[in-house]
Amino acid sequence: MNRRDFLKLAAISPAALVALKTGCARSTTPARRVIVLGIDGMDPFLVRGFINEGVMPNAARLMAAGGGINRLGTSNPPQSPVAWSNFITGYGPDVHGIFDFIHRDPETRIPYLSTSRVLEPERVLSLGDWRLPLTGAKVELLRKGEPFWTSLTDQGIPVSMIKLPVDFPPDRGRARILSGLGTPDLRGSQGSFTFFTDDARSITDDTSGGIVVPVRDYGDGCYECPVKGPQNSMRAGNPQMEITARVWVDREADALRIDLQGESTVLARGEWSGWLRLAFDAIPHISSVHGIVRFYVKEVSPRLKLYMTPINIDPLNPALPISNPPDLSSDLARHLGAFYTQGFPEDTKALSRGILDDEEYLQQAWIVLEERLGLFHNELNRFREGLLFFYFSSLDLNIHMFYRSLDPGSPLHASTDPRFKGAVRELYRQMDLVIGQALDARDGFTEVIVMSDHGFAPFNRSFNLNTWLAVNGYACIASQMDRERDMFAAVDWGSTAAYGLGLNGLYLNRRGREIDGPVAPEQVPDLLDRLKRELESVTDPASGRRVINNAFITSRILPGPLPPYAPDMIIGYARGYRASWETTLGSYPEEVLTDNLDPWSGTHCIDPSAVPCTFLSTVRPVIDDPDLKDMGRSIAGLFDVPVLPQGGRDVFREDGS
Amino acid sequence: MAKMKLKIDEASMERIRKVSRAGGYSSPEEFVLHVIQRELDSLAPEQGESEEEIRKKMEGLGYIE
Amino acid sequence: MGPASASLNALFDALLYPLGGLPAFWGLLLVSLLSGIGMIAVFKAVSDQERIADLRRRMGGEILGILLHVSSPGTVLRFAGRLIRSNTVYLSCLLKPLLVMALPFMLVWGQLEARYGAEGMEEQVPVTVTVQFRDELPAREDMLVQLTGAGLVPPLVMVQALDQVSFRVVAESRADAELLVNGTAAGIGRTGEWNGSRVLRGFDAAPSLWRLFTPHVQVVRRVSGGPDSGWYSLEGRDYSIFGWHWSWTAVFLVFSMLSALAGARFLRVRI
Repeated sequence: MNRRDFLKLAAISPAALVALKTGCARSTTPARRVIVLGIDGMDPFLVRGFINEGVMPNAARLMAAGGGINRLGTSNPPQSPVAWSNFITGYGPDVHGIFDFIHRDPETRIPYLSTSRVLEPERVLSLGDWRLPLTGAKVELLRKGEPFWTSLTDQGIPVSMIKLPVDFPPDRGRARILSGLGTPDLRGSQGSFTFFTDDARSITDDTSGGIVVPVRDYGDGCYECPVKGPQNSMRAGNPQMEITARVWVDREADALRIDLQGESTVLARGEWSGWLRLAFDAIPHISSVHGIVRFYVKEVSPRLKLYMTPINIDPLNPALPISNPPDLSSDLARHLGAFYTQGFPEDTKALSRGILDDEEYLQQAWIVLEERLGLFHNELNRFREGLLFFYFSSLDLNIHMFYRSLDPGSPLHASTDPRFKGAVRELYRQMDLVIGQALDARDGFTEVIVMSDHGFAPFNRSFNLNTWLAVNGYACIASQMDRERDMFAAVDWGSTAAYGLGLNGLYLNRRGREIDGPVAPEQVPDLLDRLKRELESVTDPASGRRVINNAFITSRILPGPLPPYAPDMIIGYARGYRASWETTLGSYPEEVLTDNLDPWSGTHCIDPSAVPCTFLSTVRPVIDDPDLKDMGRSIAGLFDVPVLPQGGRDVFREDGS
Repeated sequence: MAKMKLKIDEASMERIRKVSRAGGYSSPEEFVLHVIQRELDSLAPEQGESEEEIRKKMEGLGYIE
Repeated sequence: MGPASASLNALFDALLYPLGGLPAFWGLLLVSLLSGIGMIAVFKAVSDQERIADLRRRMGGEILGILLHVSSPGTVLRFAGRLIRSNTVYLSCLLKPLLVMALPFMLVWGQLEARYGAEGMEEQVPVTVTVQFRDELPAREDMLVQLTGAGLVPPLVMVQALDQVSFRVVAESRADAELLVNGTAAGIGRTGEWNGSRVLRGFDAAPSLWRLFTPHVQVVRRVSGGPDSGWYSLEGRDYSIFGWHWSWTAVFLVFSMLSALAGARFLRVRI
C-alpha cells in the first residue's frame, strides 16, 4: 500500500462505515467503466482485410457489437501530434495550436518540435565553474486547450490515461497520466541511439537518429566506450555528462562483458540486455540524473558492433516529469520493472541507417510491445471504475517500417526479406489479442472503444516541395553548392515567396512576419490561390499520377484566428506520395520527385480523406461522419455526468449534444 | 512566476469570457496569456537555439531525416 | 577465519530466526528498534552519566551567558571559549561508550546488510557471476562450472587481462543455489526461505579479518586451481513506507535513532 492509497483508505473508511450503517453503500450499484484503446495508426482498410482473413476475431466481435468498422475523420494534417491533440481537446489546431510535428519561428524560420519545450531556470547563481539554479528549469507543454477528461475528474470520475500522446509534461490535474508520444530521451532528443564499433565502414559523420562512436581494442580485449549523457546545466557552458562502459570481449566465446558503474552484464552475440541503470553526476555525490539503456550485441568478432538504445528517462527516478502523480512512473517500474519511457520507443532510425537489420529491429519492437502489454495487463487488473485510456505505438512505427512488405508498388518490396512479410499481419493479430482482453474484462457496465488517430498509405515516391517551389519561381536559390544542406542554407530570402517546412506545411515568406519576407499582405490571397492551383495539378512523370490531392489554404479550413507559426497551406499528398526527407528541414535537392528508398515506407502525412481512423465500439455510433474531435465528448457522454466537455459532438446521441 | 494586474472594462471582459469559453480554453486567464504569448512570439521572439541544438532535439523523429 | 565467521552467522541466524515469519520490513523495523534500545542501554552502562549531566548543565549556562551578554563582545568571547572547552570535554566523555559500541555495531551492521540489504535471486532473472583467479586463468576446456538449484546460461566470458571469468545463472527457486567453480564451492543468493536469512553476494577463499564484518561474502575453502573470490549482481532492495522508498540503511538508522531517543527518555539516560 502506498501513501496515497493509505490516505485514501483513511478518508474513505469513515464514509464507508456511515454508508453501510445507513444502508446506502455504493457497492449495490456497479460502477461505470469505459476502456479506450488508442492504437496509433490502425488502418480501417487493413482491419477489414484482416477480419476477413480471420486474423482479427476479436475485432470482428467488437464490430458485431457496434455496427461495423466505422471510419473516423482524422485531423488535417493527419499527423499524430495534431490528431491526438484533436482527440484530447475536441478542437482543431486553431485552438490547440499543434499544426505539425515541426513548427518554425515565424521571423527566423528556425524549426522546433511543436509539442513541448524546456525553459531554462530564470535565476542562476554562478560560483566559478558551477551554476546553481535558484529557480527550477521547466518543461512546457505547447498544446493549448482543456483536455476532455478534466470535466470527468471534476465530476468525480476516475481517469487513467496511460502512455498518452502529446501530453508531455503530463497534465497536473486529477487524472493518472503516463506520458507517451512526445516524451524525449535523456539527451533531450526524440531518441538518439549510440553504436560502438571498431568497424571503419560503419563510422560516419551522419548523426541522424543517433551517433556512431569509434572505439578500439588496444590488445587486452577491452573497449572503453564513452556513454554520452545529457548536458550538465550546473556547469558553465553546459558540457555533456559522460560515463564510461568497459566492454571486455571474449572472441572465442563470441560474447562480451559490459562493466558499467559497478555492474557487470554478460551478453553473447545476438542478445539484448535487460535495462541497465545509469547515473550521470551533475554535482558529484549531490545531484545526479538517472537513465536506463539496453544493449544489443550485433557482432563481437572480428569487429565489435554494440548497439545501445537511446538513454531513456529512468521511470524509477525520472529526471523530467513523465507522469501524474509524479510517483506513478516509479510505482509502475517497481511493480513491473523498467520500461521504455521515450515517446518513440521503436528505433526506426537505427533500421533506416542500417545499424539494426529487419530482424534485429523487429526483436527490439517486440521488446517494446511486450513491455506495453505488461503495462496494459497491470492497468486492466486494477481498473474498477471510470475511464481507462491505453495507447499502443507498435502498429504505427512498425507499419511505417514494413509497409514495403505489404505493398508490391514499394521500390523496396522485392528486396524485403520474405521472412518479415508477415510482420504487419502479426502485429495486427497482437492488437486483436489486446482487444480480446479488453472485451473479456467487460461486464454489463463496461464499454470498450478501439480507435486510432489515422490510417496508413504507402510512401513510395518523395516530393521535394522546396525544389518544386524553386523550379516554379517561388523560391530563389542563391548558392547552388548549398542545395543539399538543410535549414534553407541555399536560399535568397529576399526573392523567395514561399517555402516548405515539416511534413505538410507550406509557408509564405511574408513581409512583416518573416525577416526579409517580400510577400506583401495584399499579395497573399492571389498567391495562395495560384499555389493551390499549381500544386494540385502536379503530376508524377514516372506514372502520370497526381501527386497532391488537396493543397488546403489554412485560413479557409480553419477560419478562427491563427497563430503566426501556423502554416499558410497544408499539403494533402495523394496516396503513395509524401514530402521528401530532404524538404522537411529546408533542403533543395535537384529532382522534384524521387523514389523513397528508406525502409520507412508507410506514411499517413497525406490528404486526410485518404487515411481515416479506425473506430470500433461496443456502443453503436449514430452520427454519420464521426470525427476525432468528437471522441472526448462522446466518451464523457457514456458516464452519467451532467457536464460534458465543450468541444465536439456526442456520436452516440442522435442530436450530437 | 511574476504577477501583473490588468484593468479591463466590463464589456471587453465579457467578450474575453465568451471567446475563451468558445475556444476551449480552461479559463479567461489562459486565453489572455495565449494571446499575449502569441504577440510576443511574433514581435519579440526568444533567442533562438543553435542549429546543432535544434537538430539534436529532432533526432530520432523518424518522420524527418 | 572460517569458523569465526560461521559462528557469528549462526548466532545471528538464531537471534533473527524468530522474526523470519514476519515480512522483511517488519523484521528490520523490530531489529532497528531493539538495536536502538540496546545501544542506549550500553551507553548508560558505559558512560559517566553524572559527568555528562554536569557538562550539559554547564554548557546550557554558557549558552545563556552568551545570550545575556550579547552587547558585550569581550564577555561573549569568554563564554564562547568556555563553551568550546566544555564541548570538547563532553565529546571526550562520549568517546568511551562509542568505542565500546563500535565493534558490536559494525558486526550488527554487517549482518543486517547481508540479511536485509539485497534481494535473493528471482526465478528466471539472470544473475551475473564473476569469479577472480589469483594468477592465470585456466584454459577454457579446464573451466568447470556446476550449479545446483540454478541453471547456467552460456557462454563463459573469459577476461584474460583481469584473470576473471563471468557467466550468468538463473535460479530455479528463490533460495539455496550452490555454485561449484573448478572445485570451489559457494552459495548464491538467499541461504534460507525465511526473511532475515543471509543473502550471499559473493565468496572469498582467501579472507582477511575484514570478512567478519561482511557476512554477505561467504568465506569458503580454498582449492588449488579454483578461483580466489567471486561476486554476484544481485539487486539491492528497498522498503516501502507509505509510498516512500527507503534503503535498509535509512530504515535502520532512522528507527534505531528514534528508539534510542525514546529509550533515553524512558530510562533517563543523559546523552
